Amino acid sequence: MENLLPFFILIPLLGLFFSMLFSETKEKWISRTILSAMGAYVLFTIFFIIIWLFKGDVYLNINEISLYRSNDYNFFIDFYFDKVSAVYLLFSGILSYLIALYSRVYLHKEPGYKRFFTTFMLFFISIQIIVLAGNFETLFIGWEILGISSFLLIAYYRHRYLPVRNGLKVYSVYRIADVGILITIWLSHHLWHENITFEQLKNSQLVAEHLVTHPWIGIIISLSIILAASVKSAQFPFSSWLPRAMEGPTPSSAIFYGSIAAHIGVFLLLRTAAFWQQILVIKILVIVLGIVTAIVATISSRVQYSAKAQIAYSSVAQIGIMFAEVALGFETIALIHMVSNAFLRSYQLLVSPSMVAYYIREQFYQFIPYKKEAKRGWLIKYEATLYVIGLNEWKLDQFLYAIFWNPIKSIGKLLIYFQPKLGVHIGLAILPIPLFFTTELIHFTEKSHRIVPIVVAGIALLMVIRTFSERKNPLLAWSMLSFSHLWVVLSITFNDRLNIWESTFYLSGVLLSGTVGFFILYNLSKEEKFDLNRFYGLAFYRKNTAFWYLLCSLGLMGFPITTTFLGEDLLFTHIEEHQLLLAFLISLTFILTGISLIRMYARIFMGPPNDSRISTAKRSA
Amino acid sequence: MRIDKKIFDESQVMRHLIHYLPAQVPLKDFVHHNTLHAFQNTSFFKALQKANTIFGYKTTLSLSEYRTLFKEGVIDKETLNNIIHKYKEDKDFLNLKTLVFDENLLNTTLPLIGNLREVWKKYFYIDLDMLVHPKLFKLIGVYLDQGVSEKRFPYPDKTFLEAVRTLQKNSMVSVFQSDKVVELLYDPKATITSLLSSIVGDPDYYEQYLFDQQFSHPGWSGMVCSIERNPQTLLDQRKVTLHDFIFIELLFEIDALDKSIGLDKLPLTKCIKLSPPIVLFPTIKVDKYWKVIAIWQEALEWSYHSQVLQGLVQSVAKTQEKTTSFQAFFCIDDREESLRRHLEQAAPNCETFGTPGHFGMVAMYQPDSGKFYTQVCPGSLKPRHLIKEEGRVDRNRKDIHFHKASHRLFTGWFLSQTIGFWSVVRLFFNLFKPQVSPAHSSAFEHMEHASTIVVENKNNTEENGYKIGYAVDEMVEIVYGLLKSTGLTKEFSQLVYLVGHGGSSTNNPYYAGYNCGACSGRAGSVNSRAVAEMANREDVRKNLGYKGIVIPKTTLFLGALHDTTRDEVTFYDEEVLSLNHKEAHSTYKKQFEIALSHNAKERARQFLLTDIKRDAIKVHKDVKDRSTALFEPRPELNHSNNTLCIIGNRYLTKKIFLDQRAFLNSYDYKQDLEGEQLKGILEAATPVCGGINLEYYFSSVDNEKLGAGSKLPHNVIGLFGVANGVKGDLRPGLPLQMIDVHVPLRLMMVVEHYSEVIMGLIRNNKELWEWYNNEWVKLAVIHPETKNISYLVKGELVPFEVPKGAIEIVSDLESVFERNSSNLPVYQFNNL
Repeated sequence: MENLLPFFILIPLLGLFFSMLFSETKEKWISRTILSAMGAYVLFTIFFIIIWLFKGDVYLNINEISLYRSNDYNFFIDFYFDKVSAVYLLFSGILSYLIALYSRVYLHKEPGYKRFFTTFMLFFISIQIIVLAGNFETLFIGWEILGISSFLLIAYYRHRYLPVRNGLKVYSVYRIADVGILITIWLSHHLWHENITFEQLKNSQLVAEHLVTHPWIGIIISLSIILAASVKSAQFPFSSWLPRAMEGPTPSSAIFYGSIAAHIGVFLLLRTAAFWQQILVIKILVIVLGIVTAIVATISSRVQYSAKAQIAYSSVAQIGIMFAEVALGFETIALIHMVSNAFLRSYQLLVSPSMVAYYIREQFYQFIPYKKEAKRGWLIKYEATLYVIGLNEWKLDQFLYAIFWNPIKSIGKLLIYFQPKLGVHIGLAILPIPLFFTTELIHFTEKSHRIVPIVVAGIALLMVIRTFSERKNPLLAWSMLSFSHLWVVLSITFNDRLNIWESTFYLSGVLLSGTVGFFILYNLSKEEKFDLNRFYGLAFYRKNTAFWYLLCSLGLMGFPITTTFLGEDLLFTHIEEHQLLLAFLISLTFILTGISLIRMYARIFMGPPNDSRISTAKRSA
Repeated sequence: MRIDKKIFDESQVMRHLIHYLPAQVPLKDFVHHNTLHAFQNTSFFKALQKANTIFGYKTTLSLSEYRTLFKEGVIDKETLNNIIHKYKEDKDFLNLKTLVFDENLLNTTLPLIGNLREVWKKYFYIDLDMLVHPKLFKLIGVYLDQGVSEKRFPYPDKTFLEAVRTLQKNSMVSVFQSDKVVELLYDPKATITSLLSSIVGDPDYYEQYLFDQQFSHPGWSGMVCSIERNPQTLLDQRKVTLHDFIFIELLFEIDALDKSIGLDKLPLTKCIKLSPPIVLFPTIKVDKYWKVIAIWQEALEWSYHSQVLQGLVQSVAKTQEKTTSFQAFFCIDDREESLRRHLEQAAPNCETFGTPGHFGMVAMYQPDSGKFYTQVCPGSLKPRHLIKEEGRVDRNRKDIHFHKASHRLFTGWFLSQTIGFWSVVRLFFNLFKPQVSPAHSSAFEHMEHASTIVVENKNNTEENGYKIGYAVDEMVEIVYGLLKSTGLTKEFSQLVYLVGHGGSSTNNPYYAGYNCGACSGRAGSVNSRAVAEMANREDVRKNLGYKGIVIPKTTLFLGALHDTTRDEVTFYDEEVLSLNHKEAHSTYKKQFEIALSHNAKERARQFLLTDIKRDAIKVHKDVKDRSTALFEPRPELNHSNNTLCIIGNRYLTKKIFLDQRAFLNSYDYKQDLEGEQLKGILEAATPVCGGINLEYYFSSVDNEKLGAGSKLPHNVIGLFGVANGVKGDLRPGLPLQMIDVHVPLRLMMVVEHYSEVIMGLIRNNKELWEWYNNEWVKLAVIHPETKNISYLVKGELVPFEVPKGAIEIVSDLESVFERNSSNLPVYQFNNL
């Protein structure tokens, strides 16, 4: 039966593939393909679950395929299916099918009909991968796709300013979650000395044994998991991104930000509960986090004057409660709560345009005029304070900005004086290459062995940060992002054992996407004037260029479409468990590379095109 | 050039701003108006250029769009050549022709508004809009909110400024970050001028600065102005003024500037050298680009209009010989054009009339147990009467999904654990079998079928300054006006229907825009029912007799409502019918049914997802479902493609196919040789139809700036507006889904009367003259006897040459509908 698990991904993948064959104008065929795939998916899921239940609902696990194997490391795709997967697959499948049906008519004649359904399916597939993943490596594949398809859905109206801006914002916050998963993967290798599967995590004795010997690693892993879960489920202090994600067509907001995507944090917690529940501090932390979120989000929700922000915050508050439920061990209650809340919030978002007719009618017949009440002084103060706090949404948006982006911005500003000439450029590019061969020869003292990798990784990070402040030359930014990978690899080389194959794995993807992307940009710069200082909206006339450039960007950021993704993972296995700083620097480099690349894509291809013949919206609209 | 120091006059600049800001009222009162009303004192094409130069609006189709329409044959070649001829000056024709067809002309003017605001980014590297807008929108949003948020704004009785002061005073968390700003907030001496002097410095720049500032978020500013002008438009009223709004915005700017660049860098003019202040409203010279655009637009319009005029001359229906079976009045609305056509086919002996859908009754209306009054006549009129509904049975249906409890922490916990499973069932059923739900806004809920209305005033009772019901002599006036203006003064049939109209939709914030414009965005049921009741009264008829209109005893008037979305008709007070009448009525009802189904089928040809090659009744069912489907952004296409208003006898239009593009007002010049009735008709029809037409025009040529953009991502804001996402500006105008089949043509008013009478009328009315002389609405006059047509150019009538050839005759329109989804030309049809 576990052999059938890949079908959960294959069916939507086939739907995606076939729908992409039709041209933009063939609405009917696009939606038919998607709907058949989704319909088939739902039927398959229902039958699968019935049979599975009939067989006595034990969990299923299958080691699907080994992508890379060396004597001490095995990277494999693993699928795992249990009660939690069953529930998530079933509800996300049903909801996605209904929303696809809804969107078939709702998006009729909308420019970008095909793009909508493509991204929709991509999103759905990413959820399938996450839910079925049997280990963190597999989960991370879905996690990455989820991030990028989120960005594309939020910035669906790509020629307006705010959707693009908010898309970038959400994507950046999402990348913070990715750090969590990367660190988890890295430390798990060291904790278990193998590629651990979720199935093994169920073995509480095994987990307990390892936790006794490495208590701190256990705690850091748990914290990373909680970081990832809270970011994706908009928990405190990351709550402010969820209302800002409501920029796409209403059905996509309803399904993803109202339900399926926003609840994935709960899923992650459920999936890993066997592990972190063994640590009391973490359990308490999750409960506190959930309750704090519930209160904070409710206070924000009650003063929201816009339909979608209100629903978003009330949903976040309920997810907070689910976190607490999971930590307290009420798995079934949490599952019911999750599914029901997801359905409820999607539906509320879908019918939110009706609010006008409904509430105005209610107001017309039941209006109670305002009457001044005599209130005590402290009550007035308390109410006003709470009101303003809610109105400010606890200033979480500004807080995140100050914590995460201001440092990067200020470092970037300092680095702006570094404007490499061509020679320096080539130097930067080839400098690491001889070093690869010499690392074996140089004999490091212990101290330098600790410091040198960090310095090298720091150079990579600085190169990436530099690209954020680059406003003029996209080619320069692109090259720096490409070369930074060399430095990343170099920083690991000092740790021995990274063999040539592994480097090749890593760098071949970079080389391919870096080169192709460079040529696309270079050709484009011959035909169009653009820089990175503002938005140019070039996708309006150059849809295909935009698509291929996006693919290159994804390749360059280690997205699971090239071997670099695998290489990234291998790389991390070579960071030793005491090199927390190095791991942090490298994951930060990865994360920022992704953000920088998407930012470049947005500036060049998205935003309002500069053309008086086209109707473009005001910046504030 | 030396510019004299202007003295900054705060109130004058406010007035100026209010004049130019969008004038859209809250959604529930949505009525169409000319989007560029501020430019109406300028001639049309000049105004287009001016609005483009100043505000950067895209006021016409682009050159390539016109050229595409030409290639597709929508713009007729011969018409275009004629227009080019007319536009050529002494220079050669060929030169102009290459300009029109080939040259790649570009409109490169950059808008004047917005320049000064650029300095923040250019010199100080800050995005002031992004620092200020979110905070400002939040504050004005919660203040005006009508009931989205669970918590009502704490001080709704205070003015906006006072409310902010109180909030700041009571809250332990400051609204502003800078202490200086908090000081200014309470400072009684702080004014807009004083704040401007600390931000900008030189008074020469103030006006420009304010225009830049307000037009960076025209949606919110416009909404503030509308509410200031008309506070009753919010049921939960607020005292907001543009002055307060700007004052707060300036405070937020100082706040942001203090925290980013520091106040020592201010004022602007002290710190940096600005380019001299611009003249905001300069005189404008017509350039090549705009001349070519004018030619194309004229050609586009005339390509259709000349067909229409030709049709009006060539196909005059014979006057009715047989006795009429029934007579029916409809609203002049363009959506009724097709229904009348189908009704005349289904019931060949009937006679139909068009008149503004309030049927001459200027009133307020209060539904049973309603807490407010609602206007049921054109917005420009000031009612003095109130019609009350009594005996409403149906209570409003509730829907748990809209209940605020689901957003609270503990009730939300309970609800989100439970009702979600019900939500998905509901969604499932709505997708497969759309049903009426509380989310639905129905045309018939305006007045309940089973209830009664109080039409007669007894003992001079009044309520809040409105007279409850009408006295007999007032009723006589209304009925007389209705009959006289439409020319139905004799030969009454047994049954006379008055059919109002309204629309039904689900999940649609623009529901009010689907109703009757002549009833201020409400359904026309109250009016049709009340006026029918008046006309049935013996005392009224007696008085009408004295005025020369004799209505036989056997004639009965019956009110009805046509749901234009679902194509359904409901009749009111059927119990007054005698047995004889009842029998006839049931026959006519069946004819209505047939007409409605065919009308639905005609409309469905533009609904591309509906399979139209089926029986009309089956298509009709699908059309009905559109109104209850949550997922249908186009329940109907409203006034799309409207471009005509024809005032004249029905025999002019009875045999030509006008594709739902014409407002039709019945009028008999013979009974109104002096034009007294005509004056009233023109005064009502010109702003209403012109407003609808121009709103459609501008929303479709610049859907992003003058329209609301796609409605799919819209987010309901405070129940009065929509925005994209949660942080955006309000979006006035029509959404993409309402105009995407609209071809932007101006309205041509066609009147059947003597030209002297018409010209005398419009010349003597300043407002009418502005509409016609500046060509915001075009005018054509049909001579009643000779049938010669002339049209107005630059204030003068010139003769229209009817094109040679004949209008195509079609006998089977239904098959034409089945084959075409785009706009159809004018046909003559022959149904008998």
